[in-house]
Amino acid sequence: MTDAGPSPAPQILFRSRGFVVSGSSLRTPRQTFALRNIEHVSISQPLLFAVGFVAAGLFGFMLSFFRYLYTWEIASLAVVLAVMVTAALRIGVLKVHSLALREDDGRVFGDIRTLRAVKAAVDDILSTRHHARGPD
Amino acid sequence: MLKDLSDLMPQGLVVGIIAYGGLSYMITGPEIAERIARADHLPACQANALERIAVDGQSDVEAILSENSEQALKIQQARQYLNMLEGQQGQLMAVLKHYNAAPDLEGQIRAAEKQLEGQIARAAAAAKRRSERAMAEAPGQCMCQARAAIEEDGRTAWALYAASFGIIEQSPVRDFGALMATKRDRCKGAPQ
Repeated sequence: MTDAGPSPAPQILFRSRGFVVSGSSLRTPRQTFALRNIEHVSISQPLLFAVGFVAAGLFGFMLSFFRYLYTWEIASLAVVLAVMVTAALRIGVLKVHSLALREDDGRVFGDIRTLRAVKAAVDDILSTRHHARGPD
Repeated sequence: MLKDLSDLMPQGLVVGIIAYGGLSYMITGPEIAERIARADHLPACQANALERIAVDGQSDVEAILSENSEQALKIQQARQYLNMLEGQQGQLMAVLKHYNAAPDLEGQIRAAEKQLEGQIARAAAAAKRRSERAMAEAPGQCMCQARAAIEEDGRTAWALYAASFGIIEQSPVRDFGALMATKRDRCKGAPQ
């Protein structure tokens, strides 16, 4: 009679800000996905174009009409634009592509740098799995 | 429609364009229009208004003098007649005065002059009050004209002007001063 003992803890490839990528799962602050069901993950910055366009417009407006604006308005607008652009650059969406998920189920918002690291970790695992299976 | 546009460009860009257009139409366009009106057009409008008030005041003075000219002429003629009478019939007048039998022509002429002066003073004071009221109302009236010109005729043009950083200048923006002038009558007596 042999004792198999406790199963080994899954290897953690990435852990930060509520995201955990292990060999078998991707855990986000709201959902957990089994990696065996995932085809691939993608990331995007949804606010970049919308907020970027508005911020660029308001910046041009500020430069063109500065002589009609009060100093405090220029300062406030500059701060708001800086916040808008920073938010647009930093907020990202990680999309998990899986046949088992509906369109909106696999979307996770977060800091773009964290999401990039999560994607890199998931890509590593999926790539390893693909190589282990061998070419189709 | 949004979906059709999304085929041409990223959806985020479409949302950004719509948001920027809305901001320009609702906030930045009307606001910058009012500020440009206040800084660049109101001084001229107020100067014109004051000029008109001065002309109206001059006309009022002329009208008052014209209205009372007949009475002034009569008083002048009466005084000339009295002087002539005293010159020709001086001794007779002195005797009549001595016995208090002479009619008080001098007193009557003075009373008439005083009455005329009072009429002119009252009319002049009324004209002055009208001028002062018009001067006090001038800034409010000019602002009312500016707002009417922006809201009724130039909202879209100003939104486009603000959104394009002052590059696209349609006629309601280009001819804003003239457009303001057309709103003068309906803004008379507008509060500040």
